Amino acid sequence: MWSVSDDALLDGLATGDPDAAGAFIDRFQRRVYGLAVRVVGDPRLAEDVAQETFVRAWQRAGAFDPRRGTVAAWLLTITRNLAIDALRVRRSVTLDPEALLAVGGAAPGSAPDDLAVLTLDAIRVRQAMASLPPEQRRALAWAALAGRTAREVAELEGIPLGTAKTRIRTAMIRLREALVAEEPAE
Amino acid sequence: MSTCAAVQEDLPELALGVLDGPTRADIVDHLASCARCRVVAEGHAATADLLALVVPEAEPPPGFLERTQVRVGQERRPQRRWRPRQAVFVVGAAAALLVIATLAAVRIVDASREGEPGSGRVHEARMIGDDDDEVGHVYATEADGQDFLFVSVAYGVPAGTYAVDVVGDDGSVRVGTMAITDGSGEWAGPTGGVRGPPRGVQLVDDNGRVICRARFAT
Repeated sequence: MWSVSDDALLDGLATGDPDAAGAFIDRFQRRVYGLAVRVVGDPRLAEDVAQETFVRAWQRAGAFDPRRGTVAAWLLTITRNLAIDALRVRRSVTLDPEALLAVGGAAPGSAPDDLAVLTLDAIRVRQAMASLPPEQRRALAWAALAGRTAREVAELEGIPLGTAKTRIRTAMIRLREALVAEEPAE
Repeated sequence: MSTCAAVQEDLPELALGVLDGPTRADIVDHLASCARCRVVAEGHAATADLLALVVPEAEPPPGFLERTQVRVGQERRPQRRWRPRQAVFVVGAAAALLVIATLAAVRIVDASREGEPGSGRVHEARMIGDDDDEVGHVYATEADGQDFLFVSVAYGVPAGTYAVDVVGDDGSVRVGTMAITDGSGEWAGPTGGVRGPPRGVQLVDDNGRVICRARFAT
């Protein structure tokens, strides 16, 4: 099953095959749970969010359009949106976008010896984000990781809407330029 | 129609999935006919995909895989109400015509996707949800001088009751409510109150949030 592409695994999920569903969950559970627990901060709530992510993926697998992005990005967008909705129900929880990027500590609820795992690609992206000006990095983190619209970012940061949109757009452009510059020459 | 400069300002937010429904629909319409903006949008989408990797992975609690498999297995997959696009149109249009025919005498000149609603033909539009996924279809036709709609949601919409709003040139008009159970539901009725032919349909929840939206070709 590990030689099967993500797209093919999702196709298998769409057929309703239990073995394919298990392989799909196994492949993505750490990424999905990792994002959920970072956003909501509560391991039990994160498990609910992660489970609901896979339920929705199973329900919508047939509608996935590979032209719009990767399976991982699609799945993690579902996770992020569910996590944000769960946070909104718990109004007392304050989300810090910078905390989502913290790697020094383990994820909430994990055993002391657990280590957060980053792939090489993730390390490259984190390094590229670290090179952004702080205000752009925060705006991008609010939008990309906390699912905030530009209007919400403007309210959270106390800046005009146009400034928030500019920070998000500029951060995305600079991030892409940094990642393209790091790609090894062929 | 939005200009390229205005659209490209919103493309990063589109790629990040944080645009409101109406703005997203406008941009998707523009991208359908603008190759230059599509290239820019693809670049932002590639960056957004990489951002999904930023948050570290974490090991779920023991037994998560098994519990999730059980939960997924317990969820009844909503009935898919369409198959390949051509067959979908035939099946959906036939269902729409059947419903509409019971409401009024109908004289359909031609079943076609050309032209605007109100021309005596059956017109179809995809219903798009929060994640830009297709969640259903809307069919519109005109009978006895009145526009009729048939709204069908197949899956991906949470259970509940939603307002059905028809979008026209001057804004939207609420024409009814639609119940969604097990992710699917249907509604049919006249558009009523909209000035000119309907431009689109949207389902709105109790909080005023647009859950899904369809736009007819113009």
